[in-house]
Amino acid sequence: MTFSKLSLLLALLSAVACGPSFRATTPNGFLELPEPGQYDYRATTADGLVLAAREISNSGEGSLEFWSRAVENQLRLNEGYALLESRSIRSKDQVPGVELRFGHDFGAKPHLYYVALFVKPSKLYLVEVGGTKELVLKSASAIEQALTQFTVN
Amino acid sequence: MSLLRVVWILLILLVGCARHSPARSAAASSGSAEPGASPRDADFASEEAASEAPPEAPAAPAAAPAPPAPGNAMGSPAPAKTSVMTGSTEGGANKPASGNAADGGEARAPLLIYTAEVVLAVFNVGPTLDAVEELARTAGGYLVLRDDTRIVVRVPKGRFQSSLSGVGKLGDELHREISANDVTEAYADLEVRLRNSEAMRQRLETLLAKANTVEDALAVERELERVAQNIEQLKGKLKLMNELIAFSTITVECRARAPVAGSSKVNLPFNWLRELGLSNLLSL
Repeated sequence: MTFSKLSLLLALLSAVACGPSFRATTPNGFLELPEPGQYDYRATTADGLVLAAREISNSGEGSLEFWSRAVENQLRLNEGYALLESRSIRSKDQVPGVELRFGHDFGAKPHLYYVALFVKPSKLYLVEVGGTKELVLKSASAIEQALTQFTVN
Repeated sequence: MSLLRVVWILLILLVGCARHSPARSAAASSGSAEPGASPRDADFASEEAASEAPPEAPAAPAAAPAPPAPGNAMGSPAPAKTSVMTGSTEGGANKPASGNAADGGEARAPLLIYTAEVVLAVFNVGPTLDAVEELARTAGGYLVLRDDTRIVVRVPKGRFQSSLSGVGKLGDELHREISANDVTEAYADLEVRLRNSEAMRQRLETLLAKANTVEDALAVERELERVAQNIEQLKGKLKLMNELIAFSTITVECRARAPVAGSSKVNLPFNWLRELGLSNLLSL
């Protein structure tokens, strides 16, 4: 095995071993969970406000508009969420994205669910925040901080 | 002998009152007996028409005569006939004229009780209920009942349509039902019964003044008390009906938004889309 082949192999292995190619900052008051489940990253407050992020393959190279519309349709039409607000955002490293803010009642309690999307040609990055309306509004600045610090490598 | 006469007169009055329908009242007012009516009815009718004092005007609906046009679901309400609406109540609003079809006069505008039931799909139930309550108060109405997901308000009849439109904007309207209950006949019936009872009270009072013995006086007083009770009941019913006519009832039920049904759903072949939502996110 030549040196160049070995380097390529090592690079591939390190890419796989390093996990997702984003960096999420755990905001104040949150604790990163060691087992994030279906997400690549998940953190929660003691009261149950949850922040999660994951990386998804964008094999078809869908645009930001396509994915934001797909997310909106899935949540509004298929899940009964109300779209409260939609705004353009950028990651810390200036990758364009969109933040969709949804609302939904569970029982008699209103909940808020924010989904931030950042799209690169081969990858799609999702940041989700959710909890009761009261908790989300209380932690608005921490959530904002997490989104502005989110870095897509 | 005089006691016998009093009892006989009372009996005639009672029978006449009990059988006195609005239609018979019309016949009595015009001075002719209804076809098929017994001679005693005809006699009584003539007697009453001759002796009846102008009736005290009962409390009337506080709303304007023109009914609102609450959307297509209601159809077109009958046109208001302001010519038959005279006077005003304490609140200054019009009341139905006491001269009505039963008196052989011009027919008055229909008296309708409007009710609406609206089911809304909303994101935030509490604030939506607050908004409905505020909307009713702004329209001059009031809250009747409220629980976690349901609210009942009453708004002035003239603000029914605009209030319903306002309610419709507070969420996705899943269901709307509007009904107009025509109480014209029932109202007229109550008015006629009240007039008759008041006329009877006057006659009894005259009889009481002419009573020669204590026994006669007691008998008339007992009857007078019964008639007075009846008058109070009828006035109460009219008052309630007036309020029901003047204020329309709107019931709003709020539900959490639900997924749309059937073909409106969008199902893209990406599993991660189906994993979106609070259920997964909050399952720690």
